[in-house]
Amino acid sequence: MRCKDFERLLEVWLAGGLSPAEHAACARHAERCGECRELVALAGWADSAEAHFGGEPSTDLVHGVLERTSGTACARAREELVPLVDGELTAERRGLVELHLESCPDCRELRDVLGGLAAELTLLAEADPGPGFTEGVLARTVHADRAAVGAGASVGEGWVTLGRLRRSWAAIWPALVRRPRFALEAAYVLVLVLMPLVAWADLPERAADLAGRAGRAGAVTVADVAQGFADRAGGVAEQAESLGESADAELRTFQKRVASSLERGRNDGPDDPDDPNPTKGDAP
Amino acid sequence: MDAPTTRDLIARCRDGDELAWEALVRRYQGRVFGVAIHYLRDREEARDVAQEVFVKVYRSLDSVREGDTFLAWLLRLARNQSIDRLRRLTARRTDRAVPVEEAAQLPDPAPGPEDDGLGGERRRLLYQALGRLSPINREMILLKEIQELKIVEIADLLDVPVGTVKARSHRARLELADAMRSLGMAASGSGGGA
Repeated sequence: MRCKDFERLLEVWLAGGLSPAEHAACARHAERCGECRELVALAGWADSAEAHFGGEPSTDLVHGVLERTSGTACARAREELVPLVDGELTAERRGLVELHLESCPDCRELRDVLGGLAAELTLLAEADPGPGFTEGVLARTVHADRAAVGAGASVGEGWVTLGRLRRSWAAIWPALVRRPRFALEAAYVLVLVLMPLVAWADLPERAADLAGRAGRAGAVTVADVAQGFADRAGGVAEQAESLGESADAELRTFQKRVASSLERGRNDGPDDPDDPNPTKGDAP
Repeated sequence: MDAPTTRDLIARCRDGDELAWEALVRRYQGRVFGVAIHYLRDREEARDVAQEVFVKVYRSLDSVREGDTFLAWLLRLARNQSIDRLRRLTARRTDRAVPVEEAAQLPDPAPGPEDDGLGGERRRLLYQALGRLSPINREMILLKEIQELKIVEIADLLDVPVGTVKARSHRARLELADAMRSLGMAASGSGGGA
């Protein structure tokens, strides 16, 4: 056996887990090799130290090492607590988390609270809405439905009747379709619907003819109305012409008066051009 | 005699069986109210929202999901209705908004059944601890731990990936456990020791 093989088997040997053949080989090697014999002695001291100090390294030592190396594992443990409580962790992972919990009271308490939560929270699923709730729902559904049917479906509750009719129809329809005579009845109804359509096949032509007549009648009426307007417009024009003539006559009379006044003025002599106060009677 | 299944009840409701409808309401009213009260923290508002939820269920009986997915569908409806109401209330009464810290001191708004094994003081402290969570984490606790929806259902409801739901759920539980510890609440069984 080489030293490397011995070191590999040392821990199992000390734990008493080797087969007799492996155990004998390890013992022979330790007798011959001083370094390996020293390893066995050190392991023995460690065992006696564990027995002397309580079997485990102190918690302070672990914390001190963690602080100087990776930091505390609480954050990682928190991530694993919910899966732990839910039983979703592998055995290996669960062992690691539980090892942490043994030495961490905070995480342990959190685990305990989490464990009790699931059962308690489900008790909050239902809440008592108080007396009269069911009656209130029935009043707004079934009773409203009944009232709507009785009163001939008011506007507000019309949908209730409609919904009920729809549901009734949905229930009836499949059975109706499956009846043997359904196809015959459907064909009969189809014929009843199509016959009037065939009979009135020339309906569009009739409608077009009627429309043409109406159009012509409408044109005559429009011409009469236009003639009436034209006549009335002619009357208005005549009135305007007579008004123009009278205005023309008035203008001519006024011009004659002005001309005669000017003639009288010339006969009386011209005004002084330097007179600052011309007579007002000369004003036109 | 066994109670009818939810699927049976829904089928009978569709046929217009009013007794079945009443049984359905009674079966799920606690759940729906439980969701509403968590969001709204006001009994009257929560009652009103819960009633609206059932009215909507009644209106849409044809499209109601049957069987195993009914509860998830119903809780989703209750959640959406509660959030809608909360938004409306917040918009209407911004001047009366309650700070988170103050809300955490609110008394338990939803007393549960007396024989549910959860003492009144413990229940009050649980609500107090829940009040200290962020809204996202509180909702996650409500959906995952309280209403026990599946991860996939929550992901569908919140429109987020499944992995996100898992991560949020873990964070929320840890935050709640921390809140309970800070309130001096030991693990269940030892009572509230604030």
